[in-house]
Amino acid sequence: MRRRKPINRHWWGLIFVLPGVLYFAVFSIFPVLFGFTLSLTDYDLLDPPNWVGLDNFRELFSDRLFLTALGNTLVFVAGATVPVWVASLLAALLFDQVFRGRTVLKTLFFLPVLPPVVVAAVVWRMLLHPNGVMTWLFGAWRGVTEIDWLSNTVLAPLSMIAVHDWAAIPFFMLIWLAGIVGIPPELRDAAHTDGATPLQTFWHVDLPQLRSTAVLVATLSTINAFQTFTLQYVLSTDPGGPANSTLVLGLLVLKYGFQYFRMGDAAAVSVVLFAMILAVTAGQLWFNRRAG
Amino acid sequence: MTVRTLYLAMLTSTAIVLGCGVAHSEQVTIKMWMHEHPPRIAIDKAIIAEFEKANPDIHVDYSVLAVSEFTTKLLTAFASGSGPDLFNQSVVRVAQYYTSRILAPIDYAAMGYADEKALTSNYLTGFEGIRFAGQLYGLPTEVSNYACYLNNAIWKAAGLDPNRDFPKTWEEMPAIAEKLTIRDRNGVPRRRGFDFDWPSLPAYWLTLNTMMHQRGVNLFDEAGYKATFDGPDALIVMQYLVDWVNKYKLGGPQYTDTRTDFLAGNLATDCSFGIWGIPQMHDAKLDYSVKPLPRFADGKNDNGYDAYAYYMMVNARSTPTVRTAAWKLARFYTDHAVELFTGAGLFVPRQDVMAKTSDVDSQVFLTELKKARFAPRVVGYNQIVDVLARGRDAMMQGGQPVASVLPQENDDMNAVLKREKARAEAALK
Amino acid sequence: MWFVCAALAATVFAFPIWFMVTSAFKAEPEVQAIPIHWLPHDFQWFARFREAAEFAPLWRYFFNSTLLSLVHVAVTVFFGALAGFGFAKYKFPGRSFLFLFVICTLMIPFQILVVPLFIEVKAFGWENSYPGLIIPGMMNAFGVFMMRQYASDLPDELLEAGRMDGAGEFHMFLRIVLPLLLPALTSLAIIVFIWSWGAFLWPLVIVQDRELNVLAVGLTNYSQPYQHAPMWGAAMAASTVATIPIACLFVFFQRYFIKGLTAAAVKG
Repeated sequence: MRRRKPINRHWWGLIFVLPGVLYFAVFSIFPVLFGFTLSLTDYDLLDPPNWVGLDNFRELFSDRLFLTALGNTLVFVAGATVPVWVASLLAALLFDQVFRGRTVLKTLFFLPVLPPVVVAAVVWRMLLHPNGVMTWLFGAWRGVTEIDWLSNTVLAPLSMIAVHDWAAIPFFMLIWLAGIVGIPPELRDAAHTDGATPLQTFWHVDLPQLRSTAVLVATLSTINAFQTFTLQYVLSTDPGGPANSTLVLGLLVLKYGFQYFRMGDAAAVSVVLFAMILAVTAGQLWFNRRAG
Repeated sequence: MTVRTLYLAMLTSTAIVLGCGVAHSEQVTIKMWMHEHPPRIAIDKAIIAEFEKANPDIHVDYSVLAVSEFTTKLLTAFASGSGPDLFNQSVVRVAQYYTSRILAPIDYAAMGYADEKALTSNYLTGFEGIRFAGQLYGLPTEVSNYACYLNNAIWKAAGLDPNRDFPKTWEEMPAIAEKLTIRDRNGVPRRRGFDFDWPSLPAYWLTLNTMMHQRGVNLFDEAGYKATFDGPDALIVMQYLVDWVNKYKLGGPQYTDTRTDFLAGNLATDCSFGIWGIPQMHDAKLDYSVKPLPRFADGKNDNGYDAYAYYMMVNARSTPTVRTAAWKLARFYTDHAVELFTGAGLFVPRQDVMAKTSDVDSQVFLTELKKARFAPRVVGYNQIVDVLARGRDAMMQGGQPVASVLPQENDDMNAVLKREKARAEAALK
Repeated sequence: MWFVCAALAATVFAFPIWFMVTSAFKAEPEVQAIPIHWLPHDFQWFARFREAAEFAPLWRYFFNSTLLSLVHVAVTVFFGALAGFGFAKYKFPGRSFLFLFVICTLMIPFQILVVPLFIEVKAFGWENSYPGLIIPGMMNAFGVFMMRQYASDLPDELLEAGRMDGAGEFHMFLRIVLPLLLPALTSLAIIVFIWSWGAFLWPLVIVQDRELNVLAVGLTNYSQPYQHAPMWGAAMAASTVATIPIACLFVFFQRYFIKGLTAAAVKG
């Protein structure tokens, strides 16, 4: 009589997840741990790594490049989150209204989301040429023929924020819309019957319902903004921009790692970046727990 | 077994042993890496073929790498122990290789020279950049210095004579450049008379060092670990450059780089080409003149642009046999300097090459070269040049005063150098 | 009134895209003309595209990007579904730990991986090669996460029925589970494609040969060429080429596209 193989069916689960787990172990978890280790060394590729403990981190606080990058990143994050949060909400409210041509206009408004970040950066690099289209649009009527959008130390970071927001606002509008669609219409009708103005309806009915969406938009846009890299890389003349005004932490990792070949410092900067992002994620979880 | 079979067996086995012996005899392979410079590649291959024929026991594994990736690839190759045995690289990188003990000192015997003198006596100059602690670590494959090219048509159209009116001093330059500049109704220069090549970091590096040398000072000290970009002369140099952009508005980093503009006929004067620019001028069909770089009226030294060089070096981490063969190849290669010059425009100040440069334009370069200093070599070149460029931006694009930015730049450079020095010392332990 | 606001917003936001596409079909002097030409005066079908293809290996870049994205999609979708299903419907020792292990990788910003991953990949000998370009990043934990959500919603009765013919668990996965998950898989496929298509930092670091480069990085050859003036017309043409696949996905799979994007957002 054939013995039935007493293999527990559930071991198959382990077999199914194993390829993924192994892959992540090799290509995600191990490199992160390796990165933590690297951040404790001084390694320039030519000589073997030299253990320095927490020196790299200690030195970061007096490293002007790091402090500049940190400041720039925080400024960028502020500019890429608050205006985006507000504008995308307004856009969602706008396109939630019913009017002729809404679908077409919404699609047009959504176009910035389609091209990859690189494409957007290349196109904007051309539009922001000192004697280019944006100068013409903003300067022609004032008689100005040259605006250094990307090479002026004040304008450059603002241009980065503007380009980022251009693509982010339509994207987050979508998220808001998904949330708005979930608001029970009865609530709104009730408010309308009670004689509330659109503004009051919005403030007392919509916003509370949108709380988790609001937190989501805030968190996502923040995490995304912290990691920004491609935009600054393509839109700056030299990675870092004029007087390092567009040097963000993501770029600094590349600079330390692949321009200066200070691998240990590159790793240290990335650890700091990681920590900041973890803090934001933790913040979101805390918020959600309070809300939920 | 018969005696005959035994005899046959002995003969065959001896033949096999001998044959294997011959096949396993010393075949040395030299891994050679060069930059991508299309006119030179064909010449390289011919030279290598000749070398292999003359040295059947040496094989050359030749690779060409893109210019923009050469430095990174070299570093990552050295890091993984798979670096080339023989390679050609710019002088700005050599300090780093030297401190990491990648460079092998010249083996004169392998090259067939009695001593250093026997080698250097063939050259006018060019070894300064590869000399460390009195020893030489490479052979120059290109030595270059910039001079000024003038677009004769534009000069004449502005009513100026390239020969008489080209300024001899920096002080006179703004006025002349202004005459050659065409501006739009807002004063924005549409065609510049003269500008510095701002976007190119190497050109900026050379410009700063040159001007400092002209005033009799240096950017760094002898050892190359302390920045001395402060003091009244540094202020004068930097203020001149800042005024060029902000006060006279004759150009700036936001405009197209000068080489592209000059070759397109949209710039009256450019001083960022070397002797190798001459064929490019012909290709662009420009009617040009060559003039020496302006000096400072109150400057101490009569030098033109600092010279820079490319050197052929040998990897100290290769085996001794390979290193010997590599030096042999290096000598053989550089002995073809004349072909490399006539075919690829690579100038080396050797007797045989200089014999080919009797035309007026080339003579300007040669005369300047005799007076030129060598661009300083610093470890951490990438970081240093970044500090200089970003400081420049702060002054030019950010409007900050020179007097406050310069000390900051100096401090930043010293911080970099201090860390590089500490690292070099740690590596030696 | 709403219409006016919306029209204004749509115009401002769509303008750069309009500019990019129309410039791809303009003659070179027109591309940089000020005041701008809203429509090409001298319409040229392929001149800018041909220019782009001559200056740099545009179609090679396109091929590489497609290869990379398709491999990433295939791997993430298949193994994501497999692992998601495994986590959802099987109880094995270490399940929670392994799931946490996988999900943790979602929190890792790429910047912290760049340098160590580069050193690791070089150690494998994969630097500047197809494996080095494609393999790191070809599986995304988001796929596992999303598929686990959808797989746990599958009714167990269907799975039991699938086991009846005794062909084995894996067979059941292929025959029953995958088809049931198809809509979710499509959304996942689209989102992974978009992410991989725009991948920039990793290819930038690992690739050195022109022939191996992806479109995202190759684009910079036109806007910041080495020792050459920027070729704007060609850049706009190449940019249009780079946008077309995503635009197509949007047009034909709009529902899945939107669902995919919002799913990715909600995962946080």
